[in-house]
Amino acid sequence: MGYGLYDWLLDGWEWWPGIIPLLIEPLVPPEHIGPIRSFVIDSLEMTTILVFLIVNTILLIWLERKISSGRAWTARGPVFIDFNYGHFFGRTWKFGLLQNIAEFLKFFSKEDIVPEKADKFPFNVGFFAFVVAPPFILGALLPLGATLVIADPAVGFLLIFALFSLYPVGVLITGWSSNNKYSLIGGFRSAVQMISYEIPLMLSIASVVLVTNSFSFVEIAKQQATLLLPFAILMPIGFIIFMAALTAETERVPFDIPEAEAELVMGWRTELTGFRYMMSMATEYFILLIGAFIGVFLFWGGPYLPFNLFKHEIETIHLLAFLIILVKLWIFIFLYIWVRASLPRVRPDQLLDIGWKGLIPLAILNIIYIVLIMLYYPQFFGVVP
Amino acid sequence: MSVAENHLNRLKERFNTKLSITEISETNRIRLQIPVEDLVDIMQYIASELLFTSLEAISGVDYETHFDVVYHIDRWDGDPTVLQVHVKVNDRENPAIPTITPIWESANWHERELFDLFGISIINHPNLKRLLLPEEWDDYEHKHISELHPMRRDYHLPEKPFSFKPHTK
Amino acid sequence: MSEQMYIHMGPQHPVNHGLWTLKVKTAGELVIDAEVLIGYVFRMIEKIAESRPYNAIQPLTNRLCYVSGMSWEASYTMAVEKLMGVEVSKRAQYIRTIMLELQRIASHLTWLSAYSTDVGVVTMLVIAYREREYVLDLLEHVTGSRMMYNYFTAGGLRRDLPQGFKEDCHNLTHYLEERLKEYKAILDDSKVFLLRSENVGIITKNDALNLGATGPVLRASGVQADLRKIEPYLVYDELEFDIPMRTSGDCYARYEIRMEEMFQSIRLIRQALDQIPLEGEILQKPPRKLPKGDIYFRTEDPRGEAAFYIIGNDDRIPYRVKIKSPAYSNLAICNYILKGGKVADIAPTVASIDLCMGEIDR
Repeated sequence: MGYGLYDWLLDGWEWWPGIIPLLIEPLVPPEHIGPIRSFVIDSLEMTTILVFLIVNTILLIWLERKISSGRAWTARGPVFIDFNYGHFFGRTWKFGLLQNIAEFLKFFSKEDIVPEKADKFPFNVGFFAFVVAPPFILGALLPLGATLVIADPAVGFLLIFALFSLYPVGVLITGWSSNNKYSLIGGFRSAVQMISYEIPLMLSIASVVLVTNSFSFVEIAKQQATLLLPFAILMPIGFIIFMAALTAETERVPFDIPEAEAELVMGWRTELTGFRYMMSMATEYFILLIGAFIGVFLFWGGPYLPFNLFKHEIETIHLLAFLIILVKLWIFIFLYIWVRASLPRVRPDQLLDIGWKGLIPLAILNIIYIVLIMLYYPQFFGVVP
Repeated sequence: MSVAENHLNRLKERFNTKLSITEISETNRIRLQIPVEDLVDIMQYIASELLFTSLEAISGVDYETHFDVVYHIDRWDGDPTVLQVHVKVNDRENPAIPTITPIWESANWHERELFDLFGISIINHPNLKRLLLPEEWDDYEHKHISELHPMRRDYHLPEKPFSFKPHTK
Repeated sequence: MSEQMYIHMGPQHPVNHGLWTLKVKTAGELVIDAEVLIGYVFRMIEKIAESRPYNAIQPLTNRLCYVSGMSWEASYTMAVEKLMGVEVSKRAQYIRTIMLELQRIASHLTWLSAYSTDVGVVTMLVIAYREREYVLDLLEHVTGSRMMYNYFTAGGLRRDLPQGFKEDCHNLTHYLEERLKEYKAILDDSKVFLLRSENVGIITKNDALNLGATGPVLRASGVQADLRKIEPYLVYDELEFDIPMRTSGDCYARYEIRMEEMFQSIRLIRQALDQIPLEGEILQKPPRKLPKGDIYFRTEDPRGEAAFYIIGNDDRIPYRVKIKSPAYSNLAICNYILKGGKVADIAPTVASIDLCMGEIDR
């Protein structure tokens, strides 16, 4: 696997940097040259996807500020910190694209405060090990085209959810160890919420897996391409459950209880300052982006268009597939931003009610619906018995 | 006979000897003057028999020679009558009145405010603490007792701003 | 988490709009007990009032509540006028009524934005404030100030209405009516908003009366208590309007009542604009001294019953000015409502009471 973006480097290995073989060949045995080459290329590809994800996260935050706290609030969002695109049509064209970069710099320049009475070891290690680090490992599994993916293991996106489930642990550790009542309650709320919403999330995904017999993004997207319509339309209940559960997992309105500003100042991140706070917020958006990736591939057909439009072109022209994924990703993200701008938040007990009494029975119904169709009319999902 | 007169007549029938001033002003304000000893009895009657359901305010007035505590009571059933009950507290050194919190819960804060700003202590009050001034107010450097209760007429501003002295426990 | 612990919400905390502390005793998500600590903005306006001429007290009454300064100065001015026996001309009374109703709308819009923020609809914060700003623009056009108006004075008003006020005000009422209907639809259609508001912070009729609740809080509990009807002042007895009432006594009832009151205020303003007499003395010279005697004068503030107990002593300086604040009475019921509820319900419950620390601490 791999993107093949850096194959020219592999092909030109004999001559291109010239100096590298000269340096390496005397040091390592010849049979190790191959693994070293692929290690270099894998590193470059990981860097590529990470840069892609981070740039998109920054743009996601920018878009949210532009729409949710901008236009919806009768304001214009960030405006000033940007390149100057010139002055025409009677105004200076600036969009505030660099606002977030500037604010990241600001956060890094701030004092890093560890509360005096906090439990130092879990406060420092728990946060970075369980909250910040896991999402960054996931990049390798995300396809950027019809077949472009770094790694496509058999467990597929189960790995993503395994890493996601470390997040509440980190939240709980951070909230508890910061020795603040608001963070403690916020941490507990957060852990309870994520654990209880993982079940409907997994159940809604299980329905997709039942149909496709696969955990791989590439495979699932390919199977949707053989159908006329993506799974979001063929199994709407599953898709709605997925959207709701993902909202809860990413702690966004209407399920943003752990950080309910009104009663628990900032929830579990009350005591986080400077770059810690920035990392915690950025991680949340990062997870939303990955969630959007999962949603696009599982329910919106990934790079493929409905009614088998341009199927051949999508499979051969990687740039086209990449652009389609990008557009779908941003439509998906826009839905979340829109919801955030218009809904209130629910109460913790109501949240659990919605999760356990509403979403889980619905998800089980959805699975029964899938199983019945698979038993009696499998052609509906394009399965030839 | 107006509604207010009706209320006043019922009060007079029951507590004739104890009411020292009874008059109606502006057609619906009944002004009463009652002794401190019968405060709770009369208030109980007003609440349970005359059905004045809501205590609006308790105001203290310092007349230099004595305190006047004024209760404003009304009934929210469309009847605009307001009872204005005056209670005279003669003891300036250790003024005290009984609480009416068991009759109207809303008296709680008003009585605390009375204690806070006038120094009139409330007998049997469930939670007699300062309300508006800080609870540590007594521990500040005061030169004179009158600095403790600022709504008294003989209150004078201290010469320099108060310096906070935290509790030494 | 069955262990009990205290959480201090305040004096600087997103729950309290203003400086006060809510000391909550919790067991997990349940509120066992709550205690309210106030006094952070205590300025002793009642004491200052004992050393100033009565007309110099009026600017202070503006500062009692920064959200509805007009209604406080109206209450004080009318109390003083009644004590001195001054009768204001019909035109001045109509203008006062219009101003008070505009102020009521502005105050309720502030409340709407605060309440919906605490429930979680942050978008409503901004758009409700935008409409409030239009009302304040109009008030500024008349009085020359956005918030501290100092427009009423014993004997009338400081100045007449500016030119074109009638048209502006009519336009504003139409604009507001349209927008308010939209906002009401936005919030009423939101399932989550109903989940957060209905059956939250319930106070029964008897409790509300006994604890001294006033205004929308009392009307939400099933008492049809509005001083504009019970004891009409200004020209309220010549205008047609309804007093909204609900019986459920929860946050949603309070929300509904305030929304309905804004529509009623719009109705009142339109009638008053149509009936306002063209001739009339705007300002007559009031007596210099307050006569001997006392007055207890009540008005219907946006928050409830605001009253002044003023004792005159045949002097320019009043002997005693007692301020009865509706928010003070309503805050005192806070711990009774919160007890037994959820921690997450604290914010909507407290916000539904509509607090203003300026008038509570005085």
